[in-house]
Amino acid sequence: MLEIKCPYCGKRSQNEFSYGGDAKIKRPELGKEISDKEWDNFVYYRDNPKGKHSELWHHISGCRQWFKVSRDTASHEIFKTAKLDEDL
Amino acid sequence: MLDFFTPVNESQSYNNFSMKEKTPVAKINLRGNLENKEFVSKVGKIIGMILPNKACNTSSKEKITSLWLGPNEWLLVSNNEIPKETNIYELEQVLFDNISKNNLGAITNVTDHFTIFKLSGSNIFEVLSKGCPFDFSSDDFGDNKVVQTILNHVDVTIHRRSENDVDLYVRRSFAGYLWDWLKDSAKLI
Ligand SMILES: [Zn+2]
Repeated sequence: MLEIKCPYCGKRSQNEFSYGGDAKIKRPELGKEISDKEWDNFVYYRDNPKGKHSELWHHISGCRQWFKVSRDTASHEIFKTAKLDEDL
Repeated sequence: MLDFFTPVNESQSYNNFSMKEKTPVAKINLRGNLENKEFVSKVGKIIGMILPNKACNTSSKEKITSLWLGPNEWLLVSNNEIPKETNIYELEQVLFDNISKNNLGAITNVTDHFTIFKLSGSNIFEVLSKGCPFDFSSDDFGDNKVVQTILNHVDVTIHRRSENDVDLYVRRSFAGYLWDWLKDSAKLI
């Protein structure tokens, strides 16, 4: 079983968590003119790397906080976890 | 006022493990920011204790216990069952007037949202471990600790009062299902 270290609760079993997608996606700035292409990229397009990936996870059955995880998508090794306002 | 409909109408005893529903117990969910001094001092004054600020911790007074649920979320529970006649929540009103109305945080009465199974006996964690990924032998989980985790696919809050005395919080609509699962698991020990 995979263990994920929640920055608030410590190491917990993976099935207490839910995956929240790529952590590096930035929403286009409010009020700024953007093209359909840019919006399309924000809503739909994601990288699908083999290897290190920055992700959002939600400790949904625990403290219900979102946080960042740096994980290897091939080996599932977790390098680091951090609060949302911290750097990975 | 409480709805006294109870999802479970029996108590059960097994090999060093017994369980019964503990009801009614007042439960108030409290949200707020610990960095906001006004929130911390107002809550402290009203409940007469400092809110726990670390995972799994609780703090307790004669009448109520506060359980850590998250960095900005707590559950205040009454230590004793509340008699039907005096079933009015003064605490909820006081907190609501001082915290919610001043935009310092949020108060929600979740008394009827959760029900509590009172588990006793030396085999409690034997039974729970059959459906729970949490390591109950970890140093973080001694007496007066609380953990939110999954028990046989159901979200639960487990409050260890002592080694042989545990309160298991479960959402009311899952209570019957979890009760049946506990009965099955307890037969195996
Ligand atoms: Zn957590």
